[in-house]
Amino acid sequence: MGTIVRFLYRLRLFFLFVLLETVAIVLTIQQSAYHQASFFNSSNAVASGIYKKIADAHYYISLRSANDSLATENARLLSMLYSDTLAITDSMKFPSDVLSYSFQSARVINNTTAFRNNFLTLNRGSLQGVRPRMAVVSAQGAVGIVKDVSDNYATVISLLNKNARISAKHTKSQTTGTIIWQGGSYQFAELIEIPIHVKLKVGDSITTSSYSNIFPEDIFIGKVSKVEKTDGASTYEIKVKLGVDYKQLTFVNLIDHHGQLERDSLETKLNFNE
Amino acid sequence: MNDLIKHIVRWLFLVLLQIGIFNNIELAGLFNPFVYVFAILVFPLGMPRSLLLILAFITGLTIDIFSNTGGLHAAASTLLAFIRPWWVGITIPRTNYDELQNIRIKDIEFGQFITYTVLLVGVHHLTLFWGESMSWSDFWLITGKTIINTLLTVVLVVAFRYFDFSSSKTA
Repeated sequence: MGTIVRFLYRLRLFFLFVLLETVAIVLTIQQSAYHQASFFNSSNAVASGIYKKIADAHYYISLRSANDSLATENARLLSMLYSDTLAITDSMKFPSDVLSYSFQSARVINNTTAFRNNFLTLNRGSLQGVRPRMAVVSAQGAVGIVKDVSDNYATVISLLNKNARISAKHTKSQTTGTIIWQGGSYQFAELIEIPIHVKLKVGDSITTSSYSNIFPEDIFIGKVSKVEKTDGASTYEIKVKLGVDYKQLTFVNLIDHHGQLERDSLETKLNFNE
Repeated sequence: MNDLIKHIVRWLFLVLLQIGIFNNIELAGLFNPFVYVFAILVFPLGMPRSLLLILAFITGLTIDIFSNTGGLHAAASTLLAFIRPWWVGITIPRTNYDELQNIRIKDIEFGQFITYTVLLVGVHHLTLFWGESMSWSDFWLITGKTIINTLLTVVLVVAFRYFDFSSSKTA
């Protein structure tokens, strides 16, 4: 009798264990679903409130470098504004298309780089007009895509994430590929799908392509740092040094693409007709 | 009662330390120790197993909420808590085992504590890194991260244990 009781007692523990693990696994899977605005992430009120305190402290400590980068950005904008030659090439480069995007600045209040899937939390939310699938960029280049939004906070899938696949192009040849991140160093990503007939050099710029319905065209992503050709493969293996230093991110811009919904629904129709 | 307060304070301290500092120290995208497991390792040995499981789950879930990891830490911590009683039976000799209801983790010898810690932390980290990546293609990255961070966490846990010791002597 005693053995049976002990056996059942052990089994009861095992059931509790299985139950807890199931809950944990369900939560994990929910988290990775693209549009899941779940309670259990850092855009909920308590977590983001505490993160804001931590970020405020960090913000104060890093004021000096934040000022430096703002000053550099100001200088760059001023020089664009007052330089005649740039103004001309600018108006040729960006057609009226540029009007279909609007910008909004935000502060990064949490940021990870060590995991396989990394996220940022921003201090702007739906009350400020942020919605999922907005692009996030910094002065140094593309940062990520908005995932979940609460009233005053938003979480962002950074480029350092398995779910971030961003259409990119080699600027010189205008060939498009895809930027992915396979883990490891936060400074490097991979550019795939570039065929081997394209002439590539270390140092060439990689920017976002017009195929992306999230990022505007020609947003800087990074520079080619290593090119490899495997025997028999039809595409290069390219390592890209990212322009954004994820450890130094303080301010970012959110980009609202006004035509996004229209283009999305038009392109979805295409799939139905097939 | 005094012990209970000590456990709560230690738990809060470790969780804050993890989300405030250790989640941000990420050298080369490789070093990411999870010191909060110390809180689970030093829960009293005589604690009921079901309570241990639930507390470990809550600890992991707290870390998850702050790291946007869904339930990964909860899963790893619950697994750690599930095998802990079995591993205590193996690493801590039978003579002490009889008095297990009263024994505290700090009464265990240093060598025993290391063996006790290494396997549990290793299992926890392996679950965590594998669960995060969910693919065999990252096999060596995961193995490497597990080994490096297990060593790192064990070193920190041993340091914390000494800190616990000295504070209890002065008190």
